[in-house]
Amino acid sequence: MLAPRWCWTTAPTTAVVAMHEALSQARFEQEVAAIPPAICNTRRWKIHQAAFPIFDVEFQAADGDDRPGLRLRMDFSDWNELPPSIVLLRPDGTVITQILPPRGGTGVFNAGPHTSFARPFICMKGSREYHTHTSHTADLWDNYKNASGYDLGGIITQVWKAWQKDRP
Amino acid sequence: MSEENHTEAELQTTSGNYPEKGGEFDKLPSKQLISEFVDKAVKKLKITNTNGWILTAAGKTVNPAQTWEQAGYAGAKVVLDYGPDHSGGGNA
Repeated sequence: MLAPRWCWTTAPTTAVVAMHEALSQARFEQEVAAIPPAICNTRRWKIHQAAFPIFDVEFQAADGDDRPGLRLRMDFSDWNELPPSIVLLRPDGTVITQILPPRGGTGVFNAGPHTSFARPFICMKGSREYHTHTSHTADLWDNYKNASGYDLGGIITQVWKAWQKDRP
Repeated sequence: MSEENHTEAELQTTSGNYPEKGGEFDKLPSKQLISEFVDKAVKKLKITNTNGWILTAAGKTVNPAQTWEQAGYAGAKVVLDYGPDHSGGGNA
């Protein structure tokens, strides 16, 4: 019987680890490069950082909308063997530690606490915090990682669309 | 031929723009189905799977099964945004 692929029969060599990280970085950089500036302008996305493994993007409100924007600090370490870990930030870069409980909206912005930490999180397929929550550990990332809408741009798009409907 | 007979369109995705350079538009017959333009753009951008994606323009959903004219874009310049909708929260 084959061992599950996450079980190493011997410790992975430094070379294997380095190759895995290089592949992860190459995929990240390719997907970041594909995002055209035009769509960032249209969607009002401000990219604060796009250096592997971090993608830090701010969703800015439309003109005439005085609600605050939202920043996501997304950690794409081990992309795409793992989904990104996402931290919610205010536009000034400080971590959001409290949001109002969801009001029956999308349910994507969860007030927390998570089973592993005590702050709000993105509870959506494609976020590491969703797949590691004890309620969803059976819903494996492997079932989505090559599906439509679960590349880097697709996951950001999904969160952005939820934010438009249900701002935390 | 009147400008009303044409629509100028651009498609934006996180995998690229069509036409490739942002701010460029394809001039299309207003009686053409929107899906024809979208299909051409998706093929050009080498996007292999668009299951669950939705088409919007200025925040409003656009039905690709309509013609540009039926959708109210005859004679207009339109930027289409194409991408996945959010999958819904886990309600953990």
